[in-house]
Amino acid sequence: MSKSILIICRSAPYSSSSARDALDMALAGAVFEQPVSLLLLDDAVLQLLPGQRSSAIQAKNPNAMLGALPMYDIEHIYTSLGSLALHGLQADSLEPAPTVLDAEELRHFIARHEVVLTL
Amino acid sequence: MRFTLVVHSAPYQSASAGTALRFARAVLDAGHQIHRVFFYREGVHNASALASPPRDEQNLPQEWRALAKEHDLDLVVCIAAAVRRGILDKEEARRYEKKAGNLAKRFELSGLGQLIEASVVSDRVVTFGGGR
Repeated sequence: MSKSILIICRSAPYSSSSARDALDMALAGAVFEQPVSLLLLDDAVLQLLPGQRSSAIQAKNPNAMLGALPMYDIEHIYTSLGSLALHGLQADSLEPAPTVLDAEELRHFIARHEVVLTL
Repeated sequence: MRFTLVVHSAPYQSASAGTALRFARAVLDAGHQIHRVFFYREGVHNASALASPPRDEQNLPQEWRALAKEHDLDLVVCIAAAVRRGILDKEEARRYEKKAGNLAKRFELSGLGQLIEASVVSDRVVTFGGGR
């Protein structure tokens, strides 16, 4: 049995454990062979900023780990136009570059998943 | 209908831990089933046997335990999130050379796979807390 699982994270990389915990959920879903999508909204797009030197605050760098998701068959990371605009970012300056959804697409994207897990 | 509840917040600081418990009662009262309650992130503190609130206040670990006993609920605590935060069963206490475990009765430590399995077999998955 299989269900499409969407994980929505809204937090900046080091403000809480959210980035790490969302990634662990995504990996667990992939290990149990469920189709998983990861949606980074609002401050969570900051997880994709390249050049993070997180060792200075004894934290692990989420954008390196997000880059490894294709190895677990999680091919795309999604964000919204609004989230990019909030921080004045362009998708192609991020690593890995996310798939960008406008408000209408975002609604359909969330609705088409059978399970939505937020944190 | 078959429900799974996911609890991300600790008792007291956030209202959502108490809301999760009341929601669970409402689900059962309405004749539905709860496949599993999964405690993740700060939610693992709902499973502390050492929580000792004043007598006239809600004791969430104790109330979860009572509800689990009455309805034979499966209360699963994410092991990685729990051990980090000092919620250990006897076996983990031994493994990490601690003097004692403090996981309340009726709760069980297990992996995130239990959340994925529950999500797949449930009709509804409802998350409480998080957002940060």
